[in-house]
Amino acid sequence: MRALINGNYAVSYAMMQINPDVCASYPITPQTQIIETFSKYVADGKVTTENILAESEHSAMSACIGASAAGARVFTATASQGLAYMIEVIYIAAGLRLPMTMVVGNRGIGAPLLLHCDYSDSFLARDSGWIQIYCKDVQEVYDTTLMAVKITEETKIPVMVMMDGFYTTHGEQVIDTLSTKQAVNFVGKKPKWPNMLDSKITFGNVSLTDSNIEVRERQWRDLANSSKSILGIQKGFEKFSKRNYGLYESYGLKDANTVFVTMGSSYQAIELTCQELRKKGKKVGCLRPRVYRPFPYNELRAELKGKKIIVLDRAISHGAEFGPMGLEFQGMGREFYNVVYGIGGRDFGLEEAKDLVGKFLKGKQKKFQFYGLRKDLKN
Amino acid sequence: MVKEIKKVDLGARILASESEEYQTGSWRKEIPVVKDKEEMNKHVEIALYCPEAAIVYVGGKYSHIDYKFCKGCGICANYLKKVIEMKRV
Ligand code: SF4
Repeated sequence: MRALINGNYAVSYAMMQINPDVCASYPITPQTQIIETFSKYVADGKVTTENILAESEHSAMSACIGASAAGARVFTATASQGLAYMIEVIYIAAGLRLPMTMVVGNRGIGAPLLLHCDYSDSFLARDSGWIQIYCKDVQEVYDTTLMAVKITEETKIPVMVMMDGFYTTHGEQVIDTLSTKQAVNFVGKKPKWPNMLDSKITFGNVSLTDSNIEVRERQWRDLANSSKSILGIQKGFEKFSKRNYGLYESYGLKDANTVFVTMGSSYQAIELTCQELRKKGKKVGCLRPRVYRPFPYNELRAELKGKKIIVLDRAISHGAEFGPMGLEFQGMGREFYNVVYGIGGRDFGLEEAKDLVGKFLKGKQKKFQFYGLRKDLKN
Repeated sequence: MVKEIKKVDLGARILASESEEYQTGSWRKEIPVVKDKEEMNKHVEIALYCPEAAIVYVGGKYSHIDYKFCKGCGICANYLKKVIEMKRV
């Protein structure tokens, strides 16, 4: 079916089609519409989900952990300060290897108080052991939400699906949805995983100096290997939807001298800019990491070999030499630059993309810089 | 977890029965002493209050406290003040 729909509604629609066992959540801008709409599906009897409207994000995630440990298919959503409040139990969900899907409408973390998009919220959970997938548009968010359910149940690693706050959460786009029958068939019956109701298992054990590092190594190894499951499930999805997703997306990489790397919705502006410049014979290309954890280092290193790369960062690592994405990519390519842009939702559209790309094609640039700072704001 | 355990499942989960190898009795600074066995028979629910399931009833009758696991928390003695007494070890 074709639908004009925003990212939030696309997520709750996908979840309505799947009818998960449990949803435990707390509303927060910019993902509130997900919880709102999903709760309406529950009230209207469109799903039979146990919908727990928790008193905080910490409780919401704790309920998800309990439900998953009891064998339930679980879904939740959060953003920004909510994710920060949840962080303790986010680590626990991953440490206990509990399948669940969480959608994040990316919004920076205060202070100062803010509402708009950057990745400081989900990057906070970067090292928690979750699979992290960043989407560029509403279609990808819809598709990835469905795939996430399958990925998490196959890998026993919780999956976080990201979309840009307001750009994608509230931006309406025409997308193709699956029929509910297709969606249900694709996601499939929930596999059984060892749970507290069916067998006498102790979750949340103490694991001290005698065993902790082994348990962690296994967790690290499984997350690194999960890209195989992700690729397999994406292939399966492509078969009938004809929509194909990789660990990253790129344009013009093969013969490009200069490659711009960016995540989320701003990739669209960068890609359009590169396409235009290609027509003028400029050998530019662009790349968008989609699966950020596990990060496909080897593939990216090979793709970017010998190229000049400019990595755009919509987050800051205070006190570090580069931004969080910059830190991933430093050492790749022949020449490396890192640009912090779009913090707090500072707009980055076609105009800005053209300006930025133009600057790097024209002349010398600093290794690290903030892009688009206002000159009229004393600070 | 204990060194004797040679296999853990994902997320350090183990079978509940395996936790029996983790004996918490050595944590004890005080020991609960039952003064009145007859009274204990009237309070089977105390078995559920004990966080280590160390108070053993057999066929509904009080049997003993398993000191391999009793960690001396004193919850039982607090609940049945007249029946159980905590003594320094
Ligand atoms: S002292 Fe604590 S652990 Fe020991 S028997 Fe009483 S309740 Fe159980």
